[in-house]
Amino acid sequence: MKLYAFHLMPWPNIVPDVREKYGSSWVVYPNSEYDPVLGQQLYAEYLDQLVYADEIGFDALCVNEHHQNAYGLMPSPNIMAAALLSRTKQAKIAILGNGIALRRNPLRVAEEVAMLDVMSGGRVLSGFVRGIGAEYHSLNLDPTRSRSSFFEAHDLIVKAWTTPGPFEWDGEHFHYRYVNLWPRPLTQPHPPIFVPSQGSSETLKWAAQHRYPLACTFVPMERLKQFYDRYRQYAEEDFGYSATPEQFGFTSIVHVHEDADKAQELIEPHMTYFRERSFALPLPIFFPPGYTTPDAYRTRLEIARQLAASGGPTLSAGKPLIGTPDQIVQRIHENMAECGAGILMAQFQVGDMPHDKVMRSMELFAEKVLPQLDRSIGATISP
Amino acid sequence: MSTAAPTMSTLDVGGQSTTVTVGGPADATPLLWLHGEGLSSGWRAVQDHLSERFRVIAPVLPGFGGTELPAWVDGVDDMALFLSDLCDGLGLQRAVVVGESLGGWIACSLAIWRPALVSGLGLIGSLGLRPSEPPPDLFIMSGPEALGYLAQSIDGSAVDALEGDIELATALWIEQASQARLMWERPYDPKLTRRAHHVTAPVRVVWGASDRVLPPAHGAKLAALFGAPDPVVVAGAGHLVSLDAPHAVAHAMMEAFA
Repeated sequence: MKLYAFHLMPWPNIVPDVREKYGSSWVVYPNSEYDPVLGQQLYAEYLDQLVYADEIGFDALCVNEHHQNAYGLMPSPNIMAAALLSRTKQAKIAILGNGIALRRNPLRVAEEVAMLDVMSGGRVLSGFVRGIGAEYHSLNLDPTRSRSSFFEAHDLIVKAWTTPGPFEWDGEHFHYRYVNLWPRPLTQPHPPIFVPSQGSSETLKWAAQHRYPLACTFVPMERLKQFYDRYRQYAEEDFGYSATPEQFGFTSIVHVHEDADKAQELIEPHMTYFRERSFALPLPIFFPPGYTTPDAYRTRLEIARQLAASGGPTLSAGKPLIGTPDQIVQRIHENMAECGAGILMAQFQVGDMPHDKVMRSMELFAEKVLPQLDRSIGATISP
Repeated sequence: MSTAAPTMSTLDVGGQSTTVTVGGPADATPLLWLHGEGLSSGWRAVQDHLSERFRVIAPVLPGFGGTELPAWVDGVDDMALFLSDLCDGLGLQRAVVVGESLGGWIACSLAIWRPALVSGLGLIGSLGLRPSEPPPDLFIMSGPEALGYLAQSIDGSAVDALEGDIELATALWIEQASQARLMWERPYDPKLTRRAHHVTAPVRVVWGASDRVLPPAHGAKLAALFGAPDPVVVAGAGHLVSLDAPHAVAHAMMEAFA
């Protein structure tokens, strides 16, 4: 089992009536609400949390890309990756991911990740995402071109990493007379690619084809299993191999306390904050026109109606990893066996959870959960 | 006055299957009607009124009215050149071209690229010219709210994503996607001012007095750009004037071009 520390680096002071007053905590939430002085303190604390995860033996620290929002304060994941690489020794930095469809010049991503890879001696996992719908509002990019730009940007970046330059790139979205990366990556054939996804069949099949590890976040266990089963099926039937647990991430909020009730009580307000304020993401912002296929949109409307009835997004698939160390050990093993995942992506900081609370939970995780985890990967994860 | 029922047919335009509805006397002046956004591509009262004096030809633009957006549509000019092909396919050598909102922008482009084809240019709440104030962003709104901006006479509750009809909500979303391809990144044409002199036909502009997308003053600027008379401003009408006041639109076009 691989352990990744997942972080969103959220803004903790979104106003309670954000939906009524502004409609969303994304795109249009006024940046007069951002306080750079507090911002500096938050970056320092959030980095400390991830550096601590490295110290206690996590295999990777995750950063990600979101724009013009109070949900996650990392518009440039590569800057955060650079900061983390200079402060850590062991863990890889998982960039989950660079929004390569959001770049008019995706070669820049190839360059930056190659720099990180060379500087760190190969400690970078390179995730690629399309970017959620909100980013298309924030960056003024036509959402109908998102998927095809994503695939072309991916092909361009991988070719730039692996094929001696200079060569010409002549695509539908991008044209370069000279592709000739300096530096080129240290990791051969290229830094490992990872695909965070919202589970569309097209992406699942594409990831299975390339054998890229996959992680779907904030979906219920039933749906997660469906997505991962479909990936395994594509691998088996279309691409002639058996997918292994290392190809699947299981993302969950984690909160550890010696007292089970206390664990729940301590995390509850931050989960509520996350659901009601960080995730204030109305459909036209989340799924702008043309961002996905009409069929996928129809399904999304059905999901949105279920969520509206049930009170918000699923923050933790399967059995919640909130409780005593022993409970959490057992549930980690159960959850991961259930969806066949080999990578635990643990999110300790949630919404407006303050630094000391995060650290107490992480310390207890290090002391009492980690030593009990069955780290031998794959078939050995069993209840 | 009674008119013959309009007939609908499907044409192949350069490989693109296109539905065209035609109504009105066969020997009347041809009028090409270019619909706007917001599920407004159907044959409605305005075409009925117009077909009393014109032979109205109303195509459904690719990507609208439940059709798939072809990959070759990359901007408004692609739509204009598609319509140029459509007119050639119909043997139409000269027509009054009337467009509403996004359709008006496309009409401007067609009149720029094919001036000899256009005997008169009718622009109803037309997009295309750079607005002096940023217009509201309909893409970020819920379906009912967006439709409310387009016309006063529409009840948009049926397209509500959470409480409306899923098929209707999806249909609106699909049309908005086609619209996004044409105008998400820039909701006007910065080249229009420079190219406007290519339009040789007389121009008539019609605007809703209660237009919440672009104010009537914008219509006046558009009219001035083409050396046209002041716009016909229709009281009680919103952005899609043909929905709110179909008779007034037809009347203005007859007065100008019939």
